Amino acid sequence: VRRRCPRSWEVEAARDGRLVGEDRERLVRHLAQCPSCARESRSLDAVSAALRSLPDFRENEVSLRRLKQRILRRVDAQLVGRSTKSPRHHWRAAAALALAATLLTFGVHRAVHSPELLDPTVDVVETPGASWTRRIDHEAERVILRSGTLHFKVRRAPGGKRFVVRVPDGEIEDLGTMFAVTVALNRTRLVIVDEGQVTLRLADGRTVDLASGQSWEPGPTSTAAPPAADATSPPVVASFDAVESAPPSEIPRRVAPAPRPQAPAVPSTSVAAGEDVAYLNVLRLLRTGQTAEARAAARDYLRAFPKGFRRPEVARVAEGR
Amino acid sequence: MTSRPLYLVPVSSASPDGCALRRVAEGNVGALGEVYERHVHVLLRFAARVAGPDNAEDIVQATFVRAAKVAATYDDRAASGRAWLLGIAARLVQERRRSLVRLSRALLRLGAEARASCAPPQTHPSDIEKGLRRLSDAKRVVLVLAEVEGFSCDEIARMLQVPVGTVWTRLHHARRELRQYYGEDA
Repeated sequence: VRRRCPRSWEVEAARDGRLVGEDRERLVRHLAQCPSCARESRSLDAVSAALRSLPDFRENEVSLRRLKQRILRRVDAQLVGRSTKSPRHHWRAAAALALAATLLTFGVHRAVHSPELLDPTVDVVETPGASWTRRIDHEAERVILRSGTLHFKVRRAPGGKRFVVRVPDGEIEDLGTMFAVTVALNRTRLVIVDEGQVTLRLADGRTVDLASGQSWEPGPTSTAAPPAADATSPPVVASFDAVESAPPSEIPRRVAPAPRPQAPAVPSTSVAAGEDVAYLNVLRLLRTGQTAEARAAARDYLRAFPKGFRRPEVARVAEGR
Repeated sequence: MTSRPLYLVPVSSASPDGCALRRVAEGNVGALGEVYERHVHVLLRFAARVAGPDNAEDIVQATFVRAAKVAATYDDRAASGRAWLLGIAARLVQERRRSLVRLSRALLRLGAEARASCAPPQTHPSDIEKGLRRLSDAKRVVLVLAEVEGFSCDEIARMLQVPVGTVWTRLHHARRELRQYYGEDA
């Protein structure tokens, strides 16, 4: 039975630009001594070579000319169609634009002067074991996340209610988007924005704006010192006191967590990106010698991504092997 | 010591593709022919690998037609339009697959053998081609862009407008599935 080197994942990581600088140089030295990693490298080279050796598409000059003519004719027809629109068409477009502007102004006016703001439409998908509640008041809809990971897809009407995710160490305000939040050990561990924009306000006064494709995770100092308060302690952010004090029974939990098979509400890209970030966080902590924090992060990963493809490596870290 | 002011000399930084696509955006269809001549071979090769040789010309045609439509959005500071065109082609492959799936479902509802009629006739593909075809479109596109076209993961992420972590994940799964197909230890 061939023994697999625990560092063999680094071969692919270096290939994809995930391993750089000193780490990469260390791997190069390691490759010269480790038959398992050398085998992994050869195997990846073989896949790459096989893909490059696929026969090229057989094209001939005549078919290429024909294709070019077809494309240019098609694009030409498209342009002609665009430019031969009659002046009457422009008047119609202008009238439609004016009507839309009027309706929009009317809608905004109603939204501003209406005593009841429109509720945002929110799809929530929870990972198993997530602990959270939802509260609604006259100006905002809030999700209080105590632990675990939630994915949100939020559609807000212009001038409608705010949507805020309360986490133990701050709050995240959504500006109409899709995003995911992970909380563990009374700390926000990860925020990933898939579309749109969110603003993260931390209890220590820091504010972080995250746009589409960006993620946030706490620095080493904040992971090293989790707050003493437990999940049921009073909130850190004072502005939430009033909301927190309301008995949960008065406000029903209106959004039932979506069952796993209905997950399409959240794109798989955010889950994959979240998994990557969580895994890279474990590695970073290990490399900086923060073993206890790395174990905690590994346990978070295993909870958040029970079927994650880095599960075997992360399980070893979590068990301290 | 005397100090002399520095002047910025205005130069045209647009690449040949940038100039041509700007003219396309202004309505000059002939300029699209220049872009076609420069990139048609790469696009045909890419389309044949990710969508099959029978669909390659259709994908390339749709790519140039869409490129002409959105030519005004091209950033002409880029050295070449290759990555931009490949990004359009990659998205078209995925859109096309979705519409084929919808068509298959519609035909199945009518009781027809949709899958058989939709699938293009295959001519003895090699093992690596078979393995490649078993991958999902998303994974195949990323694998071909990285291993055949030689783009970095960051470049692919920009082309496909997805986070770089997603590219790493798709690439890892694609390689693993391909290696598993050959019976290797992934």
